[in-house]
Amino acid sequence: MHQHLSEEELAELALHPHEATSSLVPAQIGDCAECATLYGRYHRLHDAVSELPRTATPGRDLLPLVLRSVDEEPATLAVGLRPLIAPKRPLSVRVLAMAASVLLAFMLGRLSVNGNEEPSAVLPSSPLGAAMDVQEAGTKYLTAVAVLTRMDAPPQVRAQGRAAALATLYGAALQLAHFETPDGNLSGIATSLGAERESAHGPPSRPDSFSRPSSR
Amino acid sequence: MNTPDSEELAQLFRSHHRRIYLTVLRFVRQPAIAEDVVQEAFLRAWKSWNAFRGESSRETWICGIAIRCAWQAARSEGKHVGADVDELAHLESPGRLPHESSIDLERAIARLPPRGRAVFVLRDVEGFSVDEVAALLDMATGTVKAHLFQARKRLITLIEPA
Repeated sequence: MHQHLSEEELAELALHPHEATSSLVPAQIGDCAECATLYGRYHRLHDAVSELPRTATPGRDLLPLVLRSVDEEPATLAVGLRPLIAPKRPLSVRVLAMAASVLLAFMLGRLSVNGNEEPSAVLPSSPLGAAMDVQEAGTKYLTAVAVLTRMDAPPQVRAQGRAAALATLYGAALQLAHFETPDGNLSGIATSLGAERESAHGPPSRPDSFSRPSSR
Repeated sequence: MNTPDSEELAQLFRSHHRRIYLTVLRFVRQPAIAEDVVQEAFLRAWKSWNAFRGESSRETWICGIAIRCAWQAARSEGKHVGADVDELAHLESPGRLPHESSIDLERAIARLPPRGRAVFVLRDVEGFSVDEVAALLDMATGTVKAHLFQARKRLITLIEPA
């Protein structure tokens, strides 16, 4: 009497026969009509997969676009960039590193709560790159705000962090309000955020956009 | 390891972009998005050139970057964009026309849910191990196996109704 293989095992065996760990398995399949039928179906899937094309040519010539993007990148980006997905570190290390980064940024005066400095942003190479940057930056932003909220930070640092977080939200809301067609809801949110900033720090120096050059 | 000059990058691109493009196209299903992803992947590869540790081939490394970009794009586009399955009928097969069964399979793959499609393409078409797929898609190994099982089960039904 033999033991039936599970459907998952049969599929794995049929689709990746070179990875099979035991030569007894095919014999077991041969002993059972039900297993053999199911194995046959997955084997035909394997055959169809092996018929699939391996290459395709893009509709556009992408090489000039890639080379142009490379040429347009700032030289400082050419060395030592972080990998796309950074290796995970323990939460305590990440929290401490993030808190240290926030404090260091304040000490260096890089987070300007009054908006007197242009953000030192690097322009993304494409709309897709921009969307990915938004996703990554959004995750960092939320984590950093959570750290500021939960950690026992000095009141002044907390206040600066809150102001910086509000300023970012305000700028993002202004940009989003004009994303495709003017959006009344987002304009309302931006107005509320602007009022909140104003009540805490006085009138913003650049009320309508982060990226607009200062007229002062 | 120095960042490659334009000619070296161009050589790398010419050698590998067609295979990477097809893998990405199977993920995102839209040629225009796949082209953007390939462009972004090579740019990111160039920018993080020094992060390559030589544990795999350079092609596999860039393919990994492209897959992560494609996965991000597929997740964000998946809810809004339908499968452009007819585009998949024009794929190349070196030296011969695409076999009818392979076109059927391409269409069946394109109709899979995003996660099932991603794990099937990586595991059963590209030949990555389950652990590698889990790392590339940032999923648990058990989750990969579950989606893979469902995808395979659905494919044998789609291409060969019982």
